[in-house]
Amino acid sequence: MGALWIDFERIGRGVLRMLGHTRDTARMLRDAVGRMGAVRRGPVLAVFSRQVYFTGIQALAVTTAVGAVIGIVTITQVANIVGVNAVLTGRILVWIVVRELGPLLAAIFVIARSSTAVAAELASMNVSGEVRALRAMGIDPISYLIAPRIAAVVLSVFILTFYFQMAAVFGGLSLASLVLRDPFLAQLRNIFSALKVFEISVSLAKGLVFGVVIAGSACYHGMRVQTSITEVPQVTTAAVMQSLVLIVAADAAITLVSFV
Amino acid sequence: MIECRGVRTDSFDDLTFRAAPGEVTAVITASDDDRRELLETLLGLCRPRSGEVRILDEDVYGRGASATLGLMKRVGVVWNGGGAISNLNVCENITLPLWYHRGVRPGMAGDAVRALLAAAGMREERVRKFLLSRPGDLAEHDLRLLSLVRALLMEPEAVVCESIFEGLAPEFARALARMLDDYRASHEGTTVLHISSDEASLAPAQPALTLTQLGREIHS
Repeated sequence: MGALWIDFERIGRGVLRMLGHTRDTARMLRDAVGRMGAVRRGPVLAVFSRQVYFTGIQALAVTTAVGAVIGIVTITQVANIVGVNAVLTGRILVWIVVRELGPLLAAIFVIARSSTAVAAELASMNVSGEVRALRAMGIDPISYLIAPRIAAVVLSVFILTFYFQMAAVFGGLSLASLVLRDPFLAQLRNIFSALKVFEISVSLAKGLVFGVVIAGSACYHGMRVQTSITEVPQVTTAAVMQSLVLIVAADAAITLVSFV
Repeated sequence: MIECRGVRTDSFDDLTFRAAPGEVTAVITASDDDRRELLETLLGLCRPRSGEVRILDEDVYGRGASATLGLMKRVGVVWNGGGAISNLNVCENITLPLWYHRGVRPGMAGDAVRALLAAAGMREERVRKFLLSRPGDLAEHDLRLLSLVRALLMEPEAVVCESIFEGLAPEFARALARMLDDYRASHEGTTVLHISSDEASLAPAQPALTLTQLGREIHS
């Protein structure tokens, strides 16, 4: 009983700590959004461009490939359960891939690839005194380091979500037309008839929210480091965990609000 | 002008001194930690418990973070470790404040950068390689040169140097000191403050006034 009580206490402390980090992340995001105009400055625009390249463009090939595989797997399972049924196949592809898996898996890719990199880079810059040097040059670290990274990661997640969904739909339909002998164009019509503007909007909104959550968590935890290099892996892990928990929570909330 | 009046921090009970305009002043601290704390206190990075820090007649901690950043545009800082941004090359590092604050692109500042590097004794054939290097590939003396050139390019009204001659070859230390002297000569009224925990290393700076830490206090 005693051990059980201690566990509850520990869980409670963990939840409170995470809520505290989430609140501070929101504050930092608010500050960064207020300074978003700085992205027009040359050196800040350079930071933004580099981040879009690392987070968005470099991840494009692997995200598209995985999207196509997810589409193929989904169609295979659907065909296995309900047989060749073009209307149902199209609808299930939209329900599973466009509504849920697309935004969620694209976000998980960005967390694995870029959230860790952003958190570790910012943490290292803090430890080595680079953030302090920026302040001493009269350069606001939120404007120079945070705002462009948040803008770039949000844009990248948004675009990767779209590419993932397109790859999944076209990958699934290609398999269906090649193996299951379902006409490609007929399937495409079914997809479009099942796809409403509302569903596309919710999916893109998820991409946007996930992008903000991932970028905010990575930047917040990266900037939290003070002086010790041993903090770098700790904050990187914390950024990943916070991003994962928050995107799953946000996904559930958006789905409940939109589709129930 | 750089001035501390009755400043109390974690390491200091009383910092009261003044680095006058147009002069070279040196402050000798008891340790590297004290040196770093004094530097951060002066630059608005570490709020003191009490007292007043003034740079160029402005209260560093009196007008909020944004005003402090604005003030720092007028102050050049030469860091012992270079203070370079690791994901930028040397050229981008040197021109970063110029590009950020005044919109001067790295290519447009090329001549001024080359002139300053030549003044430090860098040969023309080495300049290109140096400018394209990453800070992580540079030796200590090159990092300090980067920091000094970056500071002087902004034409600051005050220059704060963190132990910049420590551990350098005498000839190179003299070259850096000469660069600072030439800058002072061409920019009348510039305050130069050296902070170091190694008094002997400050010889090339030839300070007009040297203040030494006594216990937990530094007084004029």
